[in-house]
Amino acid sequence: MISHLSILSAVVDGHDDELRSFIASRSVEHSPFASVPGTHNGRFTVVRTDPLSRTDPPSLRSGGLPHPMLMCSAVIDTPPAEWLGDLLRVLGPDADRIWSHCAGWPGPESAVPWLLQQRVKPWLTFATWKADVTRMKGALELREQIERFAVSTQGLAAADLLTRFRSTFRK
Amino acid sequence: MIRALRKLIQRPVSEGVFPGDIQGNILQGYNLAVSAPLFVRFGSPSEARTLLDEVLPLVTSARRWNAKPTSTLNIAFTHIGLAALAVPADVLDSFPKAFRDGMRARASLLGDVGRSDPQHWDVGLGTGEAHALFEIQAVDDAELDRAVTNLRQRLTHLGATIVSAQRGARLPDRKEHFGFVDGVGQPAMQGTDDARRGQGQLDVFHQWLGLPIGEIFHGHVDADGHSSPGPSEPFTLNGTFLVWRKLYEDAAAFRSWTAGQAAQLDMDEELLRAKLVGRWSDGSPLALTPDRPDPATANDRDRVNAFDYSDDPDGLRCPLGAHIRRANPRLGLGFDDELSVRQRIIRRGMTYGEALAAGAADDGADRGIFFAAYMADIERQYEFIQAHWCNDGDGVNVGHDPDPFVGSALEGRKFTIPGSPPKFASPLAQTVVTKGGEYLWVPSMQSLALLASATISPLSTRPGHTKIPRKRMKSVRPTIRRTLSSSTRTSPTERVAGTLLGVVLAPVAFTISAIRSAAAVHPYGTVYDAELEVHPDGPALLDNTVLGSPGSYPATIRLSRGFALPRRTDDVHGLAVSIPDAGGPGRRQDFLMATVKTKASGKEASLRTDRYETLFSSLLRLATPQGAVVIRAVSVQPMPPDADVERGQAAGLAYDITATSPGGGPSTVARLTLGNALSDEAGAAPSFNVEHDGGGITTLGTLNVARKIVYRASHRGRAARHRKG
Amino acid sequence: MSDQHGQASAVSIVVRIRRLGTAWFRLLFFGSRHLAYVTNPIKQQQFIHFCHWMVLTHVPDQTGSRRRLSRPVLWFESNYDGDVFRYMDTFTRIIPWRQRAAWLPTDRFPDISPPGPFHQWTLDNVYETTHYWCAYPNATTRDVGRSLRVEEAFTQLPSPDTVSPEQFQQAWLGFLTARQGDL
Repeated sequence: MISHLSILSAVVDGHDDELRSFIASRSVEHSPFASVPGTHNGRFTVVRTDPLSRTDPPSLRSGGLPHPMLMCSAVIDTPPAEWLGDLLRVLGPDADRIWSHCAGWPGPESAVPWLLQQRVKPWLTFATWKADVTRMKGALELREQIERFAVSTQGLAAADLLTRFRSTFRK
Repeated sequence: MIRALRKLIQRPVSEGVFPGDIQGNILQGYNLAVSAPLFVRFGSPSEARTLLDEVLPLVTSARRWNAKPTSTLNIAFTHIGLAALAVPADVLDSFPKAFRDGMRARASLLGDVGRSDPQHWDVGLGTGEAHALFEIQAVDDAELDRAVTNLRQRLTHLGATIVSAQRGARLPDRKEHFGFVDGVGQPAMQGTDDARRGQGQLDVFHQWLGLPIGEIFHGHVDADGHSSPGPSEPFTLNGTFLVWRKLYEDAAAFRSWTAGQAAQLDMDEELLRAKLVGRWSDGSPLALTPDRPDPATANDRDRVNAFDYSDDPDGLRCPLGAHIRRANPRLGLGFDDELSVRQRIIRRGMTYGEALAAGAADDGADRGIFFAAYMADIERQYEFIQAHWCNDGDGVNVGHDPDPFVGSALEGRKFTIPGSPPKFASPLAQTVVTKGGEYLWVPSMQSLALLASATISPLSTRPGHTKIPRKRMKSVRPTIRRTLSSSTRTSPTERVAGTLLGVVLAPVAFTISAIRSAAAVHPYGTVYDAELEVHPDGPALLDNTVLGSPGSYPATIRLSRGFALPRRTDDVHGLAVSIPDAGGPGRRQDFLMATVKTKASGKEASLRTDRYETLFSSLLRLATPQGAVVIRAVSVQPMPPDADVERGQAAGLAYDITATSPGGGPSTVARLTLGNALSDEAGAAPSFNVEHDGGGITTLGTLNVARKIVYRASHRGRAARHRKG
Repeated sequence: MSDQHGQASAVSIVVRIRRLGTAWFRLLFFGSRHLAYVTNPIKQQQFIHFCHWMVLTHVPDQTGSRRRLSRPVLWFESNYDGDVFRYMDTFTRIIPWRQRAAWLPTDRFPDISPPGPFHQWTLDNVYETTHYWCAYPNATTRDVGRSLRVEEAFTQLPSPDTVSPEQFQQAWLGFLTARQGDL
């Protein structure tokens, strides 16, 4: 069951630059989300500016978000509590380095309930395909394999085709 | 249905061209035999301007020829070249990013990697050295040599150097080096070509119409109903971008690869080649003649492009990945033409190099195509086609299969030939290599003259022009924008659409007017005596109309609120003008205009206002015998409050009447001065009606057709009520 | 680019909502959840992996508790193929009223057409993603759909141990013919 998980936390005033630099320093190749099972995608967004509409004149800015915010959101296949537990495990001490910049952070020990408290429920979600990530990745690999097989076995006699199929797919 | 209605409301359906102000070889190809694209680097700015000034009379516009010239000259500029001409920085910055960057900087997006990488390009192409392209075309080599020699002398004399001199020549039968007829599928342009199936854009009734001029030229209505954005003043109008690429064709490798693949796939080689291209070598399209070439179709202008793939969704006739199908998917992407109509380009390429003899091995000679494509927006049109449809197949539903000719990174990829079962030509071979190219701006003839002049300043600083801020232009609503269309006739489609709309709205108008016992719109108003003083020396656009005939005309005007809503409620405020003897005794002309609110931001946006404003516009499309026109009335004094207007206290108020041609600035052509208010009895007499066009100004377009029907229904409703009463 | 991973892109649009906007979104999203007509063209277009809309009326504050916003905020996140303007322009063309409805009650929304002001509005309200990761970065949304269809058809092939080579060849060619558009 795919779900959209969004955790919104208030960043302590003045900490947004440091937080942003820390998160941005982690390259996509070393993304923590890569090691959390059941993750389709994940993102951190540090909303640094106070006003929401950057083109607004300052007099109109009072209705914006009151503080810098950190949004951690992901599309996941596992229950949110389980996924957050996995994320915190993968992040290790980095979890503290991220959320310690946020108001009310209780520390890693009771982080999951705190993060769940910060959850923002989506009003509408949309997914073009509703398959779990394991199946999606498997299907993508399989299709590529089939494509290569189809190209390379064009015109083969039936027996040769069967032999090649067995050796390729071990079906 | 909603999409259909949106099209009905938003799409412009007619657009004119300005052959005298646009350069040639764009809307219609020269079809001359030989060409010499010369990439030029200017000397000092003053030398460059002198050079342009000298060659200006030689530049070929799109004016119709009485006799075909022996040679032509056209000029286009790189962004660096415009800087070298000392074009002001703010004007330079107003050009779109893709053009400013130049082709070389966009190489990875375009897929110019490997053998096509810019580091392997020909000297002088894409290096930043070229300031301009001077392209000469001629009927034969002798004429071309003569014209090139002439130009070279001028260039040398004025400090310019040629950084790359190319030479093109058409192969027999318009073929390119792989043996296919080239340049067959061009968009049908409004006002120039007859639209045939698959060539322009689809209208609401699924009829093909010509593509709006704004898809190619700046400052004209585009396929979305907006004025196509180009550079800022003074270059807003009638310019276009040229994507010029030198594409080497490895004819020997192509022949050898297709022969090998045909044998491997056990299929006819000619058929395999046709599947790769989407046409047989003679130009007949697989979509119409899937089994064999058909010279009759190939030579029939009405048939050779009359297809749209809607009857071949799986590509069984023309593969989804075929070159012509992915470069112009027509209706093949679904959602009618919504996903492809904004990606049309006009191609005017020419081959270069000698043809490789049949059966000959590679001779190492340079041969290929000078790809030349014109468009209003490089990023939206050419780059999109190249990056999303040719380099990758995802956008055209063929996975990651690239275009077998101009796609990127072909090694290891395949080409799918749909069938039962399908066949896969693989691995693909790179037979087309980019050898260089430039993004160029092709100015209008006027802009060219301006570049040649000593100083380039915005039009607003020169007399006779009013600068309209770009932001404001963009904000003008579609109804107003449509008035900028320059057609002088209502097309059959507009007539049908307008009739349908009118028929839908007529019962509403009838009912309202019957209930009100007054017209459904503008039911009550205050009528004033007036005098229209038409000034001498008006623009030629108004010749043979009342506004082009100087003199004094008695008139009647009515100020009214469209829906007669309570005062201070937003409403459409109207100014109707009736000139009883506009075109001679008894030849009456009426104009209906409405208040246009000008916001503090300068945007001309809302048509509903809470009071009479100072600006009224004809809004819907009007035309003189010469072309489309927008009539506006601008109050010379502040408008009095609505209550005073309605109490007849607006006597003495004066309006400047202005006329605006498509894309042009307004000219003040007359002064309208209000006299006394007429009594109710006298005021009831003139029934303002846009069908009165005795002064030579007529109404056009869908909404005007609908308006006439609605007005008639309104009159009938009122008459029915009176009869009953 | 931190908002891209391979072919996948992330966008976050955060914008305040005008008066009565919350009610508008309740109605719109209710319709979207229950009427396939509303979302089908987006599915057909196949370039959004996932997206979701949140309406914030309260946000965490600096004291660790929650604070009511003077005006609600729409927070939209999408995971899609391509670039943001192509994304917006495509929807403007194929589903204009849905596109308009999705942004209508937001601050300073200039309408979806003409594209210039709408692009500028989008830029004004897009927040750069600080870190983005996707599990299948080299696959577009269409790739995923193609793969799922191929996988499903592939599982229907007979086991090579239970049929003759000729029967298997026939089944294989039938599979290729059926799924050729997905390969």
